[in-house]
Amino acid sequence: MKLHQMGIAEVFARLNTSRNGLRENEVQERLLDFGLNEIKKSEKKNYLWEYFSQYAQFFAILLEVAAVLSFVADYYAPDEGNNILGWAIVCAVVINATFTFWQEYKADKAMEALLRLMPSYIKVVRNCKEQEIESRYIVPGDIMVLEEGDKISADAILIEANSLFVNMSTLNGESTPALRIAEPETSCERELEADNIVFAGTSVISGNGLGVVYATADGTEFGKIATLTRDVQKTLTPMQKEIMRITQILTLIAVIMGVIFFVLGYFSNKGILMAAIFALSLIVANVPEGLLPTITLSLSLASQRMARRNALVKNLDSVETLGSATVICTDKTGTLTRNEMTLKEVFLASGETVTLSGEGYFESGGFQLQQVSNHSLERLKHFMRVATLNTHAHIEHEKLFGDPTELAIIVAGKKIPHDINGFNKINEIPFTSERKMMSSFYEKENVSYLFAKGAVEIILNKCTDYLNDHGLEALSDEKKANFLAVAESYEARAFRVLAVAEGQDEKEENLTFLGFVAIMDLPRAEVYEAIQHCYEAGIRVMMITGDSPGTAKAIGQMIGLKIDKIITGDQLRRLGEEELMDELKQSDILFARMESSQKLLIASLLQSNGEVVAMTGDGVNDAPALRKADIGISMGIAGTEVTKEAADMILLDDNFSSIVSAIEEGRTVYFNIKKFVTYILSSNVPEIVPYILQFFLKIPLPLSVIQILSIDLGSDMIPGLALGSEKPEENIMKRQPVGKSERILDWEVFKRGYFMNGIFEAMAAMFGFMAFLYLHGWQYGDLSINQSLLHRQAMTMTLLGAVFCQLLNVWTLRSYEFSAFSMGFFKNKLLLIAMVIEFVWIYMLLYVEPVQRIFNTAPVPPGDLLILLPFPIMLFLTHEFYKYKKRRKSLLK
Amino acid sequence: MKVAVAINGSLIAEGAAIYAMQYASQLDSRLEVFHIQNPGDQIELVEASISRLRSMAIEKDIHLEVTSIEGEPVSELLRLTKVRHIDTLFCSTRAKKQFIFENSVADSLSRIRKRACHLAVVKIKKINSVYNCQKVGLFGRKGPPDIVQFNLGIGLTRSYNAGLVLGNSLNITQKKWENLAIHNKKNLLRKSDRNFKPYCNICQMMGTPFQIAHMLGEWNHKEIHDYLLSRKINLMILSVTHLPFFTSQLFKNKSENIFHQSPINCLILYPGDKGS
Repeated sequence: MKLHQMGIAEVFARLNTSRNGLRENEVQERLLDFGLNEIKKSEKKNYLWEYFSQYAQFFAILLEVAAVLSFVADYYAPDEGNNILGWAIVCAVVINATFTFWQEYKADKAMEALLRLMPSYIKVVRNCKEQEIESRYIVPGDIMVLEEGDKISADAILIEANSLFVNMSTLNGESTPALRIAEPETSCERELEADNIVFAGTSVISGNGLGVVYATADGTEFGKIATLTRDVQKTLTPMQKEIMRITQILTLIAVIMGVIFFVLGYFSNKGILMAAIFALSLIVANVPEGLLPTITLSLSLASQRMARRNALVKNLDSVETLGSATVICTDKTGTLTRNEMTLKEVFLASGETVTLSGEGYFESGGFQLQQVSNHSLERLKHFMRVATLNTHAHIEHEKLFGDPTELAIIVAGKKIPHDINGFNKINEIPFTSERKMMSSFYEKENVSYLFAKGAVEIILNKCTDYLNDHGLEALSDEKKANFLAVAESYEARAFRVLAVAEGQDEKEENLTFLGFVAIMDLPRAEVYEAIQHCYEAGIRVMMITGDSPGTAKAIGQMIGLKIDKIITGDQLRRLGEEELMDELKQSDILFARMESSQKLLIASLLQSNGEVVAMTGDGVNDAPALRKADIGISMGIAGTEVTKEAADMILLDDNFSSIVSAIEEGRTVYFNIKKFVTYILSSNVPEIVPYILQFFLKIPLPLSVIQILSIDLGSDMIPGLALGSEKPEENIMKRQPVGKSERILDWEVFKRGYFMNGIFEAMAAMFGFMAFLYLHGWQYGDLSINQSLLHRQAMTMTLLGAVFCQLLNVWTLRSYEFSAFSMGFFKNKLLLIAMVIEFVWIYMLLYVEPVQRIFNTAPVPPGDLLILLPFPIMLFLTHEFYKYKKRRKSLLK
Repeated sequence: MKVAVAINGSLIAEGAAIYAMQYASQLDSRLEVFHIQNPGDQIELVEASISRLRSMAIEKDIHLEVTSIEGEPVSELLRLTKVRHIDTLFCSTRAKKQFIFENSVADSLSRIRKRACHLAVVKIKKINSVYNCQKVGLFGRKGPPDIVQFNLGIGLTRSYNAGLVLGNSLNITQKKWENLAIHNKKNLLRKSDRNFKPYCNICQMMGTPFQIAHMLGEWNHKEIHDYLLSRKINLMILSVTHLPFFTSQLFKNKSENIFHQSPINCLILYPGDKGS
């Protein structure tokens, strides 16, 4: 037997306490036995340590070694610009480390938000006296005093309760205050459902009571949520893994090439220093220094676009993870539905059906009545009068007051004009969950009226007749069964049905049945389309709701949800995990009558199945599941502070279709990153090839290291960013989700970057260099021109060869699939700005002296620049032709 | 097999006694209750506790024998367990050590290597779970549980009419696991579960619902918390392997670490030295 099922005396005995409370020495002993009533926070991070550890990453170490070598080279061979190179690399390292740190170590405030729900002080009875103590000193066996407005700090069995209402939303998401009683709940098995328990983290709305504490700290239900929120292990996002992988691969290539050419240089009698400088140059040429900042900036631009579409992304990596989402687990109320009750139909006892238009509380609308006689409208008006007079709800200045179901009746009353003048309210019998009905007593011109509404079966049992076309008629059992059958047909379609009746007695007896209203929290209009988009995009949608299977199924069908199976919370508890994993793999499941805590299990098992899970939530109890999911999505309007802190993304309008928009943006970001990685790799080839050729041929250095950095951290950055902000391609939501095994840096990226566009760029660079030298009288093998004006001009040609090619490369890479001409010239404004900046940059390299000094460039006659012109055009046309062939191939498939 | 429990009148000691009683009821053993009187003990609390235990024992049809003596707790308990041929001694422990030199009986008993009986140290986080338990989890070892841990686990599971969760730590990293195809994952799980077959067979024969909980790589307390709380496990049973003396001085015992941080009621088993 559980404590909440026992009588008060037994509870006292089991907890070794009494109504007079514990004695001070007992409290001290129990504090040692059970510990303080505190929930441990996450271990504090040492931010300074974390920041400096970024400098110990493999990629960073590589660049640091390169910087040191540059300074060493500058010491032995000053005035060759190696010190500038060293400082440029140091800057790249600092920028990369700061970006990574900023990404990974943002303060985790979910626990702080949770702990704010716990009170600092609480009243207890100890040694027969009521006293206020710090809530962390409360122990099992303490008698807790509960008063209106109190926050509760431990789980307790109630021994006294006077109209005690508690806000339990932190634990079960229900915003309606729950009535608590002090009677043993003998038939209730589960603690969370027992009405004689109050839980830590909840608060007293009204009334007062006394409770005997039986669990403190992480032993409480709230403690479990907090522990899970703190401890749930989140795996690295696909983007984090991908960045690690890309840097590892590119660094490995860089190091291998560096080592090979260092060895070759050493054995070809270039000397250790020259060989080291040469190897260093190759490494710098290979390492994409600008990659990380560009990705971060691109993600941050995407997150701004998402915010404009009502999805506020907290964690930048989540932007890309959204694009990989394969399953969306969504709540029903407020996300798929409007969270506004709407009275859609009125069924009059005389058989007429009235359909109302306009959804929610603020949309205007009218009604359509299927008349059976001339008196139908009169009866409808009378029905609405009875229904609206028997409510508490009201709407003032667009502010809502009262129960949502009653608000729906009030709104319907505005759509069906009726007269309520002259009615004076005398009395009322309120609604209770036991009675399942409420009645109001009115008087008009000395005549008393009783207006009643409530559950259909309850009201019908109190009715003796009903109002039909000819007046009052006795309510036979057969007729009653007919009315019940009609009501059930509405309930099967997810409507909440309320019967309306009237009488003239003071008792709720011998009533006249007038009909009933069918009210529903209607699905949001845009959800159907959004769900179909998900299916087209290969994303499964699973509804997880606390509602009954019938209601959930009906709503599911209305919004076009695929439902292979319905699993309830109870069934889930009994199901083996392997069995559930199989079900989750094969079927589209609707989860009904679920507890929020079960979301965590569903998220874990879906992840074990290899799915990328997006999970929505609003209550505090959803926080662990949001943490666990690959993308935790909190509701912006209905969500609590805790869920918002625990989530990766906040839906500002609580609307499911905003998730789908966010996924579209996420996918766009993935493909955009792929595009600019290709773009960055393309410029690596003209940076590497000149070094290799210089090693094997008797030519002066075609490109200096500082010029390489001017490409990587200068001219490539803004066009790269512009590629990152490309708009979604038209078929983005018709593609399958990005698989876990799919990589940004795949063979296609290498092929297009290194072996297609990169080769043209290398050709442009080297042809420009060699042609310029030959045109100006240079003889093969003459190395005496080193650092002369001619050499600097030729190096400028090499640099511009790469930069010119990148100018058109960025246009053709705007889509991996579609023609550049179909992408719309003015659609990407950042790209146009990038073009202007690029031309200004080229002008500066050619004609501004301080820039020339830093980057070792010199003015080149404009006529000579024409030598470079064919290469960007060839690059552009070849890549366009390649895309065309690819499109044709996929069309034939 | 004989089961004993050490009590001192505290709520947590009574919790340990109830676990001991549940275990004894499955073994058809009598329960020996030892109270080694301390100057600080409140005799009326001890007597009230014993009286409650007696009435519970009558309900369960268990013979309860109470021994209350004076002396140094650790040595007296060791002596009593030896002369009474106790197989498993239950002993509660406090939330955490307040001071480094605090004299904790459970801690001292657990450090004694030549102890004739198994020692089950009990940590109570929630009183309600002592009376009701729906799921018992056996965790903390690489591979299947040892037989003593399993005996204790299945005994308590059956006495509560609960379900048993057997923890299986897979020898694979998170990264490798994520890269495996679903069918390969399933094959790996099946292969790894083969070692658990004898235990599963016993559970099946006894009609005890069971499942195997898989975790990747080494157990850590955060991963276990995640598992325990999301699967609503009420009691965790851990087992400790004795480390060599010098190693035990250098490294924290992982199971003990999990035990101390457990958010649910937890029991850690220190196997006895049968040779002594």
